[in-house]
This record gives sequence, C-alpha cells and structure tokens, in this order.
Amino acid sequence: MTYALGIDFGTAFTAAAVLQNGIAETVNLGNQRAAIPSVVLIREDSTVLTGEAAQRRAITEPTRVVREFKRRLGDPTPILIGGSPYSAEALTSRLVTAVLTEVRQRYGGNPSHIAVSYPANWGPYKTDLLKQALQMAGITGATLITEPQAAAISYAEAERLEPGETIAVYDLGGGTFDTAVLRKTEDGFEILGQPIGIERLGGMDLDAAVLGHVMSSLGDSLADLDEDDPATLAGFARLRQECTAAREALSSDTEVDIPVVLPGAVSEVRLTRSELESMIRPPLADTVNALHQALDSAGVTPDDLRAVLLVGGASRTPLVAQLVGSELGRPVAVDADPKHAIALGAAHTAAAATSTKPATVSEAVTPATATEVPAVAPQPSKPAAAPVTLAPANPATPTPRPSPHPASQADSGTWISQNRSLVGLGAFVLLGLVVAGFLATRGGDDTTDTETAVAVPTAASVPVAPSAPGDSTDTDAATTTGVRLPVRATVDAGSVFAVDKTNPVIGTDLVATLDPPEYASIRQVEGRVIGFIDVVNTSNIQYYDFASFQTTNPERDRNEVWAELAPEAWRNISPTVPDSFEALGLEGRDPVAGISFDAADIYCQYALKRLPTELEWELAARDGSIDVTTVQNWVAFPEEYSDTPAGVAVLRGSFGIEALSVFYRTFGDSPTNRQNAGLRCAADDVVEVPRPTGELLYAREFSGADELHDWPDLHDPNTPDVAYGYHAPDVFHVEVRGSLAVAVGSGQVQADNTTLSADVELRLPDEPNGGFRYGLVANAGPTGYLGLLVQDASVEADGRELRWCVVQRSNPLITATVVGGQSLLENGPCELEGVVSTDATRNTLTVTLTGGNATFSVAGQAVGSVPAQYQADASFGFIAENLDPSILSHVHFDNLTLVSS
Amino acid sequence: MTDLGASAESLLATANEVFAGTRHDSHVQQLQDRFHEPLRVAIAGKVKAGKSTLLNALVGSAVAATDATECTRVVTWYQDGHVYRFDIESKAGRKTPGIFRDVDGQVSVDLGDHDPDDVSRIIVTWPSQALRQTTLIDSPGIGSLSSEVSERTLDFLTSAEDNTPADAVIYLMRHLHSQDVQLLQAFHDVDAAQPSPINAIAVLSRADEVGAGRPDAMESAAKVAGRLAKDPSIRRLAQTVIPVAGLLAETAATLTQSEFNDLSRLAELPVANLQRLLLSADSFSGTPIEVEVSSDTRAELFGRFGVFGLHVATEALRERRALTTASLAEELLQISGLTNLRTLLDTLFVGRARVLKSRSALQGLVSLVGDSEGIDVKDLAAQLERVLASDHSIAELRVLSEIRTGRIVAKQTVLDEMEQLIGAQGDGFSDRLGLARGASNEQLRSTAIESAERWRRLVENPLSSPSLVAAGSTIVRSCEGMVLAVESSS
Repeated sequence: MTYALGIDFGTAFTAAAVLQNGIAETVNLGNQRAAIPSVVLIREDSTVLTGEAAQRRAITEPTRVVREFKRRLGDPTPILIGGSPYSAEALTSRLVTAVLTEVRQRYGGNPSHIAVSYPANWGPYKTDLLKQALQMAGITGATLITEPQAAAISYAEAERLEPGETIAVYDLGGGTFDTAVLRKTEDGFEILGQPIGIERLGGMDLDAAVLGHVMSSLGDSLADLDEDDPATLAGFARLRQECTAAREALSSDTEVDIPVVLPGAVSEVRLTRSELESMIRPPLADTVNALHQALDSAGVTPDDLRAVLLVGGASRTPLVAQLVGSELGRPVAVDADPKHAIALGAAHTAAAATSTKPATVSEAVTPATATEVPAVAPQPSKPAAAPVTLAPANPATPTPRPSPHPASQADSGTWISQNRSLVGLGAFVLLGLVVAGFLATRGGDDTTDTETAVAVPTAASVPVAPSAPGDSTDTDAATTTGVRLPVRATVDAGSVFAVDKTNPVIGTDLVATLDPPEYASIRQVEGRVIGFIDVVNTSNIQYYDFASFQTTNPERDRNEVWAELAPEAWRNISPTVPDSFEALGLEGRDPVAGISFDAADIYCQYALKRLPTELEWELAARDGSIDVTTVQNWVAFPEEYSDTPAGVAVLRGSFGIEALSVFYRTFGDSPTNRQNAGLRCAADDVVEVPRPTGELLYAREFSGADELHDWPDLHDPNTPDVAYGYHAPDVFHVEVRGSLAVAVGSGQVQADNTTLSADVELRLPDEPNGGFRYGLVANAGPTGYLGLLVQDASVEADGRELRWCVVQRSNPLITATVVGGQSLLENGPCELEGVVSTDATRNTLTVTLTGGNATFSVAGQAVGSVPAQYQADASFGFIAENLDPSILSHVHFDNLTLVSS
Repeated sequence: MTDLGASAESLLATANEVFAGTRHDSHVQQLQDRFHEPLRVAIAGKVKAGKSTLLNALVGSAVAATDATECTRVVTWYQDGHVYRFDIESKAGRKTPGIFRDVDGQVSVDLGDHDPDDVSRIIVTWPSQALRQTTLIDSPGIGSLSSEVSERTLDFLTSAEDNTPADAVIYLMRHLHSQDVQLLQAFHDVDAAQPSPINAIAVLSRADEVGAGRPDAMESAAKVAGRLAKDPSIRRLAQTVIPVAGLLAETAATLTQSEFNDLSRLAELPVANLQRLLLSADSFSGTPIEVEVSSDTRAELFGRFGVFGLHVATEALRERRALTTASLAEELLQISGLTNLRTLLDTLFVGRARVLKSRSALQGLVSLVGDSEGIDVKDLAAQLERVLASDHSIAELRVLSEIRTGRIVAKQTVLDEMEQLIGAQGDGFSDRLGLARGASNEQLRSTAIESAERWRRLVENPLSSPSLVAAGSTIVRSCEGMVLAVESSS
C-alpha cells in the first residue's frame, strides 16, 4: 500500500503525517504524544537516541543531549558532544531517520514521496542545508514547503478557498512563533510580504510563566533546594511536566491544581485561567503585533483576510483566539489539530507531488557518510539486520495469577466492588526473545495516560534461555519466558532473557539504560493489569477505626492491643473516643504514620485487602499513580528479593524532607513501630457488582469519608445515642446505643415499580448477637414505612444464619429524616419472618415494590412478599434497632441503590 | 571567531555591487555611510518628559532648547564636529545652513522662514567629547502638542525607509503610561524576532519630582524605577529603568564657579533656616537672609537646581563632601543618576557599538533583500543568511545586557562565569576561559570543552531558571566557538 509522508521538523517537536487512500492521518511517533521532542542524545559509545528516548535520558546524561538544534542550522560552529563535533544537519538527519524508521515500520515500505516543511523566513542557504540533512538520512528529491504554506494547505482541505483569497497563519509552537500572510493561487498558496518570527516565544515560555507562578507561590520553602540532589532534580523535572500539563489543561478547564512534590515542599498550587492569562498576555500581545507587521508588509488589511488560521500546539490557549480575533476583527480558525496541521499539510503536498516527482529513500540509511560528522559511528545494528525475531505471542503462557473470586466476596485479596480509590497496576507480559531493546507499548489501552514503556531486565539478573538470538521458532523458549516487567528496566545488548513470575530487578539502581531507536518488538508486548493498589495512603481515620475495633476483641487485653497497633504518638489517646487523634493535631484524611509492618499487615487483612508487593508498589510509583513522598509504605514480605535480610520488612518511598521518592528503600524489624512509616493496601482483583437494570434513581457507593454528606443523614443532635460515619475500608458505619435509628434518603419518588437494595454487614462475625437487627426502609411516607430487617442468629462460626423480619410501621414514626429513641417492642410484631443461611458477613437486601406487593429478598434469596399501599413521594433508607437497649449495635451499609423497574 | 563587523562590511560592499543602478542604490549607500559613523542613540519620550534637559546633561552644554520651541517639534540630530553649526534638512533632502540664536545664554536655533512641516530634521554640529562616539537624536515629544508632531516621531522611530534610524534608544518616562509602552513597542517592532531588547534603556526622568524634592527623592525614585523595570510590559521593551534627576544633571554638567560660590554661602545657613526657605520659590528668593546672595541670584539658582538640587548641593557642601566646583559637579552628577546612565550607555551601547551598528546594517540588508523584485539577490541573500546564522556576537551582547540588567535568575558565581565566557572581562580566549595569557592551544581547547559540558549540564538541570537556560545555551555556543577557533588555528 503506497503512502505519502509529510514531516514537520520543529524547534521543539517533530511530527509526521501520512496520506494513504486519500485519508491524511498523523503518525504516533512517540508513546505519549504523536509528536516527538526534537532532541538527540549521543551516548559515549556513539549510540544515538532520539525523541522521547533521548528526552528521558537527558536527566541522567545531560552533557550528551542536544535540543533546539534547528536554531543552529547554518551555524558553521559545530555542536560539541563529549568533545566531538556534530553539525546541526547531522543531528537533523538522525531525527529524520528515526521518524522514517518508525513510519516505515508502521506503514510497510518506503513512502511514495516525502515533503518536509521549513520556516518561511529561511533563505536559500538554510534550505540547502536542510536538503543535505535529508540526504544524510537517505532521502533525495523530497519536496520542501514552508510551514505556513503547509498549514494553509491543510486548512484548505477542510475549507474551500477561492483563488485570490488571503489568509494569515499564526503559528505558536513549542519554542518559536511565526506568522505569515498567504494568498490562494490556482494550485497552492503564495506568501505575501515578509513572514515575521519571534525566536524565543512558544509553549515553553508559557510553561515558564506557570513555573514562575508555582515558584513564587512556594516562596521561601524552595530556598534551600540542593541543585545536585537527584531527588530534587527528579521532583523538579516532574514539576515542569506538571506545569506543561496544567497550561494545557487550562485550555479547557478554568482552574487547575498543580501538585508540587519537592524535598521540603509537598503542596499544591492553584492556577486559574485568568491568572494564567494575565501572565501570558504580554508575550501574546507581541505575537499579535508581529501579525500586524506581517499584514503591513503584505499590504493587506485585516478586513481583506478570509480567516486567521491558528496552528501550533500553544495556539490552543483560549486567550490566543480571543486576542487575535478581537485585535483583527476577523474570524479565527483554530485547526482541529493545530499541533499537526503543518505535518498534515506536508503529507498532502507529498501526495500531490508523488506523480510528478518521486522522492527516493535509499534502502540503507548511512549516516556515517556524513563526512562533516566523523564522530557519529554507524549504529551497531539496524532493525532489518538485528536478530529481533520474537516468538509469536502465546496467550496461554502469561504468568498465572489467582483467578478472580466474584462468588466469594470476602476472600482476602479480592477487592469488593469497583472502587475509585484503587488504581490498576499495569504490567507487561513479554514473550519471546529480545535483543538489546527498550520496548515501548503501542496500541492496547489508549485511554491510559501512564508511562507504558517497558524494557527487559539486565542479563545478569535473569536466567538465559537456551536459545540463540534469532532462533525465533523456539517455542519452548517462548513458553518459559513470560516475564512481568516493571515500567523500566535495563537489558544488555544482545542478551536473551527468560524469567518467569516476577522480575527481580527492583531497587535503587533500577534506571533505564538502553534505548535504541528501533521499536521492533512492540507488537509482541502485551499489557495487562496485574493488580490494584490504593491510590491514597491509609488515613488516620481509617487506621483509628481499625485499631479501635481491634481493641474490642474480648480475648485480649484492650490496652495491650492498643499498644501494639497504635502509632507511638497515639499511645495516650482513647481507643474508644472517635476522632480523638484530632487532639494530637492530626487530620483524619492525612496518612497515618508511625506504625509497624505487623500492624500494616493486619490492617490490610482487616480491610479485605493485602499489602502490595514491592513490585506492585514500584510499578505504581514509577508511573506516578501514587504519591510516594508523604509517608513511607510497608510492602509485603520481600520473598522475591534476595538482598533483604531475613525477618526484615521493606519500606519504600519517602516522607517530605528526605523525599527520595521512587528509589528510596529501607528496612525495618517487622514488629517495631517506625516513625514516618504508613501503608497502603493492594488487591489482586476488582469485582464489579452488577447493577440492577432499569433507571437508576439513586445510587450511593460509599468510598470514603468525603461522601458522608451524600448518604441519608442519621445525625440528630437530640439523639446522642446514634452515631454514624466512615468505616474502613469504605462502608457507612452506624452505631445505635439507644433502641432505634432510622435514616431515610432523599424522597420524592413514586414507590411503585421500584427496587431498593443495599449491602449490609454485621461486623461481629464471631459473636452471635441476637440483641439488634438492621435493614432497609422502603415506601416511607405519611402513612408509615416498610422495613426489611435481619438479625444475626448464627449458632456456629461457619455457616451463618440470618433471622429476617418484615415490619410495617405507621405514622408518626417517621416524621423527619431522623427518628430515634422509640422502642421497637412497642411497635408490633413482624409481618413475616424466617431464617436464611449465608456464608458471608456481608449480604444484599432487596425490597421490590410492584403490582401492589412488596417483595423481599436476602442474600439473593427471595423470602416473601406482603401487599403494600404505595405512597407517592416516598422516601427510602435504612434502619438499625436495638432489642436490648443496654447494648451497642454496630452495622455497616454500602451500595444503597434505588432502581425504577 | 569571525568578526561580525568585517562580515557586515563585506556584505555591504557586495550589496553595493548588487544594487548598483537599482532603486535601492542610495539605500545601500546610506547603510554603508552609517556603518562608519558614530553610534546613533535616540532620545524619545512624551512631551515634557525632559528630553532636551537630558540631552544637555549628556552633551554637557545647553545645546538643546528646553522650551517648546521649534527644536522640540522637529527631529534634531546632535553630532560631533569642529565648529558650531546647524543645518536644516528639508523633506526633499536639501540642506540649508541655519543660524544660532543666543537668548540669555540659552542657545536656540532659528528655522527662519522654513515651514516646520517641510523640515525633515535639524542637524546640530557641536564640538563635544560626548558626541565623538555617539550621535544623539532628539525626537519631538509624543502626546499633547499635536497629533502631527507625535506622528512625526513615530514615523521617525519606526521608519521603514532606513529600517532603524537609531542603533539604540533611551526612552524617557515620568511614570508608566500606556503611550510609553506603545512608543517603545513601536521602536521594537523592527526587531520583533528578539523579545529581549539589547538596544533600549528607559530613564525615569525628573526623578527628583517623585519624592516631591525631598532629600531622599532619588531613593524613592530608585524604588519606582525598580518596580517599573519589573513590569512585564516594560521589561520586554527596555533593558532596565534608571532614575535620573534631569534638571540637576543638566545643571551639574554646566555648573559655574559663581554658582559654586553662591551655594557655599547658602550652605553656611543653619539647616532649619534653609529648609524653611526651600518651601517655595518665592520664599527662597524673597526671604531676607544673613548671607550675601542676592534675591535675583537666588531666583536663578532655584530655576537651575530646583528644590531637590538645592537640598543636596548645600548638604554636600556643608558636609564637605565637595570642596571645589569640579568635585561638586561630580557629586551632583552622581546624585542625579547621570553618572550611572553614562556608565550604562558606555557598557551597553558605546562599548558594543560595532556589534550594534553591524546589526543595524544587517537588518537594513535583510529588508532590502526582502524587497528586491527584479534584482538577482540570491547569492547576497545566501551570504547574508550565512552571516546571520554564524554570528554569535549579537547573542552574546544580548546575554551581557541581560546579566547587567539583572534579568537572569542565577547565583552570582554563575553570572560572573557567564560574563567571563562571553568576553566581558576581556575578549581573548584565555581571558574568557580564565586561563593565564599565553595558555597553550591544548589547554584552551580542553578548558573550552569542559566549560561547554558544564554549561550544557546547567542548561539541562531542571532547577535552572528559564532565563538561565536560554542564556546558558548561548554560553555553550560561545565555548563551542572557542573550541573551533583553537582547533582551526593549531
């Protein structure tokens, strides 16, 4: 299949587009964005990295990286890397080669023709040099077209322009600004007057303004930053990315919070769009002036313009269109894809030129022939020649993992219900043989924005398969070489890897070191989710609730339990007064700190989860899913890692001041409380609870203390005997000390044809308690309500029995959202009752109102029905009542749902 | 490293041949002439901003009329020469000698029967040390006089004809005003490619008025200037803003012995008495005093020095900081901010005159090449492009001005090294690299490579400020240039 290729070689970014079968599309050159940074890095062994790979490595090899070399084109003074001279043309040719390699691989074979864009103010000298650079990349006879012309051609594909009509192109790119006026001719566009450029004005400058805002907001806390500290550098590099992301986000959002994680400064800085706009207004005013100048030199007034075409990534900023539009009083056309308009236009140009003027791409790209650049050695191997033959992916091979347990919801290690406070951990199961490669995943889940580049572990750390490189049909090797990889790892050139289960390369020295620009193995990499991890650290309130609950174990001394579990600082606070940690100046939402490995382990079991493995933690940390600098996290016993002393537990991450972030790793005795040590839990799977069909009238899935206000309100200042709140891991907790608590949710539903359900859970599984019962309230209104109640009637620990009971109560029991203090016993008998068996502590209760009946089910079993008079504007909710007013009832609710059937 | 001036000169010669006999013939000639003339520095600002006063202070004579006479309505050039003379140049380019008029010691020029609207400029030739290296251009005030006059100045500053008629500009402002910004922008539009101005500084003129003439007026003015310099709209247009008490500067530059004597007598008065006197012009000249300075003299002194000037001058005499006319003049020039302005002009403009003039010439050529339909300029265009692409001195000049005006956020040691590497402490390679004179080529080469790496590391450091990153890239290029030069010479 033939295709035509357009390349937009920019100061900051390089993009490509192809036209195939009459359809133009941009080429995804990078993993994260379609355009790759115009960056080249030449390593000591003369290996050349380009684009994202070069960008990534820049922080560790800063002296070997070159960026913005487009500005240097034409300067006879060469660029020095490690003392060796490189011309800007040579570097350009390396970048173009990388683009071409990528495109060839995706589209198969060479393009029929290539067009490359260049700045409109370049003269014969620089365009000649550009041609030389292309020749060095093996391209001869390419069509060169100016950037504004390419943008205009792309625009003309969507909008019909008549010959003679003029447009202005306003190109605000990553590093430069250019503007020009063009007139449509019979077969293209001609530039009128002088194109005007501003050399150092682009997205980067706007980002710098955002960074300035953050820095000035943080003020003195940044005074002592150590310029040589790797953690500081990494934190700052990340902050710069956050600033770019924030600036881009403000194109659609009106405000954004920029996370700052630096040693000594962990915080968030808010930036509103209007603040951003006031910062960038002066430079943008310059661009509008330049546009005026270009118009003047073209002898064109704004009124003569059909439109002003905005291209370049930074022109998405809403203020740009606003300023340009209001200054010129002309319609502003923002290209649908402003970042790639030039590449797309170049692709169209290439396609148009295909028939008349074929460009040739030589088979062997030989950059070594670039005589000006003696130091660039030819690369050791090229994709065609390299033994990068991979065994076909075998779906049966991936590392086995525990199967999900949807039926057995309480199994440890299985997370119940979809919960947004968890994040999926991406890992990659790689099959086959790889030669020296940094692999990047493509395809798969395009919606995730995480770092998806993977590589294979060092040869030293992996058993070598018996197969030789190139022995691609050795399926035996393939079937034993499933490997889970962290986001980045290293591999030695030429090595064959074969590892099963988990990758043992974990720890402080794990830094990617190899990125040949070829991406041959891409399609053999299969991304999959290997588990889930809490996004946020376990909070004080969660941990308090847990530790407090553990002290109620009748078999152990309350104080002893508290002493074991509570952080040092908590020793003197009461385990029975909720939120008493607040007296210590601690916030409920903040991460708990100062606990032991053993306590963390128990907590996760209690939360029906488990501690994350170190691999899981590292995966999440590296792709930025979790904050790793607030408190350190205990991770599961490090069975897989040989470098850990026996009986010693591992702590990962850092805490504020030291902030060594992802790479920090330390040890601790498992029973000992450790200052700054906190935790987060993980789980193998997420089980989605199927939703009832029908229109969802009300759905509350409790997932954090923040959501209390969304739930039916039990709070009544006059009934201090009722307490409610958040309970770890994520349920709505209700306690009744008096006799009865009823909460009803928001009302105004027609009760007919509705199904109400909720998960309810009794948290004292080992203590059969006939003293209280709990359940759902439905059809609540002026004439009373229906209640489906259950009561633990188990006599043995395994195999539980729930005694259930349906009550119909009349007014005035529910007069408000809260009723307390009424004695159940005075309110008549059950309408229906019986017993169901279940093996779970957590069960779903359902009340369906339809056809003049109320039908009830417990744990999926229908238990009976009663005739019911439906009320209009009915409310619904839940109930807990004590049969013995001297006891404390304690029950949890979740997933309160009302569906109209 | 190749000399930009030499490249510009040879390009001008080539252009002379290419454009010979074409419509651009005279333009090239102008560019060539100009290249060999002193640097042109324009003084611009709104009406009453104190342009003529400052000009007098800089020249050291009362050459410019300070009232709204013809001179302040027409562009006036002040150039060095052997004799006093002035010429009136009409729009058609015809020069007619004019006549000086001396009214009360104030020199003014008489346009005679010339219609100011037909006068393109007045050229004043005045023997003066200060004009030897710079030609000063006084432009009509922008603002209230008449829109025509304003337009004339805008035309002058942004004239496409000669591209940039001035190589550098001193912009006078009394406080930040949108018209100031507009005017500065107009000047800079000709060089939109470089948002950081290397050839403009702003002066907060009449700085003594900021503090209502109090003795600490200049300190208040310095604060105001500091704030203005940080204003983003000014920052993009002028390198820095410095306060100058124009009247005091002018007076100090032309201080006479009799003024010194009178002031010395006034300084003998008790401080409290003097302060009471200085409450108003009338009280200063009218109140009877114990020392022998006549009422008329006092009125003159008041006009020459102003309240602030009298305060600081008598204070300097009373504290015996100045014992002679010359030392008082120096002290007052210092206080007025003129010394500071002169130093800045020397380092930023005069010291780099060759680069600035080359830049003007190259810009002029770029615009000629851009408007060359029917003339074969391909070779010239390519040569011009190569010279512009190879040149690094303009970039270094830009970095220097950024350092000197505090625009680069970096540690002082970093800034110091930066200045050294771009040749501000001596242009030889050993000076730039901090090596002993006569260092071997191998030493120069390896030190330059090390410096390039160190600066590349700094540029890549995420902690480096954006201003440092941009300047640092220039430094890396400076080092690379030295490596190349050393290698090709050995």
